[in-house]
Amino acid sequence: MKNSEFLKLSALELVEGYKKGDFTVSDVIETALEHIEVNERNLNALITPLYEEARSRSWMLDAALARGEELGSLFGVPVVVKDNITVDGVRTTCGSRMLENWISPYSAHVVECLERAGAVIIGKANMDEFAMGSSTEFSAFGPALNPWDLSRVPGGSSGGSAASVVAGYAPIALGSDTGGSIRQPAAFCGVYGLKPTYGLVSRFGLIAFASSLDQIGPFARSLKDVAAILQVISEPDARDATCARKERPNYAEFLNVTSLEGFKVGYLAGYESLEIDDEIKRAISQTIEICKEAGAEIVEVDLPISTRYGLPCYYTIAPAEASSNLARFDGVQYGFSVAADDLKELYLKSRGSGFGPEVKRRILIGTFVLGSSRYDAYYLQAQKVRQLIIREFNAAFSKADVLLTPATPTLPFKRGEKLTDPVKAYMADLFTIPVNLAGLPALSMRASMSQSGLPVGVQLIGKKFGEGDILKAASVIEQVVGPAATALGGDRK
Amino acid sequence: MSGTSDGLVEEIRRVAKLAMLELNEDEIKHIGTQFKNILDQLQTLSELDTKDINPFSLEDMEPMPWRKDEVVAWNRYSEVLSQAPVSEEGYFKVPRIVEGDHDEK
Repeated sequence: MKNSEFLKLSALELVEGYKKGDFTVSDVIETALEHIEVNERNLNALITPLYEEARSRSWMLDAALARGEELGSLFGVPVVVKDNITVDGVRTTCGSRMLENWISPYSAHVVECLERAGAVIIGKANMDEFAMGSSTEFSAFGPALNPWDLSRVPGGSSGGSAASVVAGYAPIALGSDTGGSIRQPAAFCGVYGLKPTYGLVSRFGLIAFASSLDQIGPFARSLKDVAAILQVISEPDARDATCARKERPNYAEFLNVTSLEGFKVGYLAGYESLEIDDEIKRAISQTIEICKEAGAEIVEVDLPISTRYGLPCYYTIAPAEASSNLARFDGVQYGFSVAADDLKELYLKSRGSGFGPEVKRRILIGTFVLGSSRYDAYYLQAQKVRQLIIREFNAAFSKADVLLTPATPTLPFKRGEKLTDPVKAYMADLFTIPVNLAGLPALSMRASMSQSGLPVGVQLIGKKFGEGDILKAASVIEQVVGPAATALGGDRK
Repeated sequence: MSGTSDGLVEEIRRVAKLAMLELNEDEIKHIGTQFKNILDQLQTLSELDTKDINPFSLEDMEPMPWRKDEVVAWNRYSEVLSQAPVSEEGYFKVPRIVEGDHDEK
C-alpha cells in the first residue's frame, strides 16, 4: 500500500490494519502530518497542528502494539479536535484573540475518552470565533477554505473540523453544534456530521457558547466511523449535570440493516416550493425514493413554526446565553488583557479589543433582549416559542421515526459573500437551528454531488436519544450513495 | 426602540456599556444598521399566540441526576496563575477599586 492511501482509510480500517500488522501507527501519523504541512498553506483548517505531540504518541502506541497490549476501539486513529474543546497542555483559542495564548490546564471529557480509546489528536481545528458564524470567516486566525473549491467556504462554525476530514488530515474529527455548527459544515464539505441529543455527550471542557443548545459531536467519512466515535465520546460524565446517565446502545448494531420495512420517514410538506437550491430539492426527492425502495413508509409532516420562527427564536436565546457565558472573559484571570488604571476601564478595553465583530454583535443583542424593559417581549416570548417548536416536533414524531429535511438552503457559498449582511448569513442555519431548540439529534450527510462538483447534503432528524433510528435510515442511504469521498488536493479545483 | 438613527446609536452605546464592551465610533455606526435589521427579525416572534405557555417547562427534559459534592485534589494552581495578566503572591491582581490608604499592615 502506498503511504498516501492511508489518508483515504476510515478509522476502523486503520485499526484493522494495525492489528494485522499491515502498517504502524507512526507510518500513518507521519503520512498525515506531512500531508497537513503541505495542505495547510492553502486550507488553514487548523489553528494549532500538534506535530510533536502526535509523533511522540504514535511511537508510544507502536510500542504498546509491539508488547501485544489490548487495543482501544480507536487505536492509532488520527483525530482533529475543534479549538473550543480543551486538550491538557495545549492552547485552546476558540478562534479568538481573547484566548490566543491560553494553555488549557485540563482535558475535556470527550478528549479523555478519545485518548483512552487510543486515538491520536493531531491538531486543533479552525472555527468561527467562539463558534459564532457559518463560514469560519469569523476566525481571528484567518478563514478556513473548502477543500472541494478553494474559492468557497467550508461552512461553520466547525469549518476546520469538516475541512480536515474531507481533506484527509484525519478520518474523524470533533466539532460542536449550537445551531448547526456541525451539520452545516458537514453538508458543505460532503462528510457525515452528527449533532447528538442534548444530554448524550458531556460538555465538560467545551468552552460554553449557549448552554441550553451546545452539543459536541463527530465528523467522519463513513457511518461505521460515526457509530464508533459516538460510542466512545458518549460515555456518561457527572461533570456535566445535563449529561444523561442512561446506558448507551451499541450504535454499530443499527448499521446492519438493508430494509426499512415498518419504519416511517417523514419529509417536510411543501419543500418543493421553499426558497432553496434546486439541486438540494432533487437530493431530497432522490433520498425519499431510496427510503421508499428500502420499504420505508413515507409520510408528510408540517413544521411551520420551526421553519418560520426558528431563526428569530434562536437569535434571541443563543445571544442571551452567550452574553452571560462570555462575561467570564474580563481580562483578569486569563486571556487577552489591556492594562488600565481603573478596573472598569480594564474590562471595557480588554473585551472591546479581545472580541471580534460577530461576537460583539451577539453580546450586544443578548444584553439587549435580557434588559429589564425588553425581557418579556423578547427573551420570554422566545422561550415560549421554543416550547411551541418542541410541541411541533413531538407531533411530527407521532407520525414518523425520522425526519428528512435539507441540511442547508444553499450549496457552499463563495468567500466574503455573506460577511456584510448578518441576517442573510443567519439563513444558512434555517434547517439546523430548530433541532437545537428542541434538543433533538440530527445527522447531515452527502446525498449527491452537484453539477458543479460540490457536495449536496441532507439532514436526518431523530427523536430524543433516537441516534439509532438516524443511523438505521442513513445506513440504507449510504448503501446507495456510498460513503463520503476525500478531496486530497490533487483532485481539487 | 426608537426609529431614529440617533436613538439607535444611543441605545447601542447604553447596551455596550452594560455589556462592558468598548466600541469605537466606526463600530457603533456599522453595528447600528445591522442591529435594527436583526431586532426587526426578532420582533416577528410577537406574531405568535403564546398565551398559557409555560416558557420554562421541563416536562420534555431528562431529569438531572444528583452527584456527591466531593472534594477532589487538584494542584496545578501555579499553572493557572501563571496565565493571569497580572498576579501577585498567589492572587490575581486588579487595579485598586477601594479608595483610601490600605497599605498599612
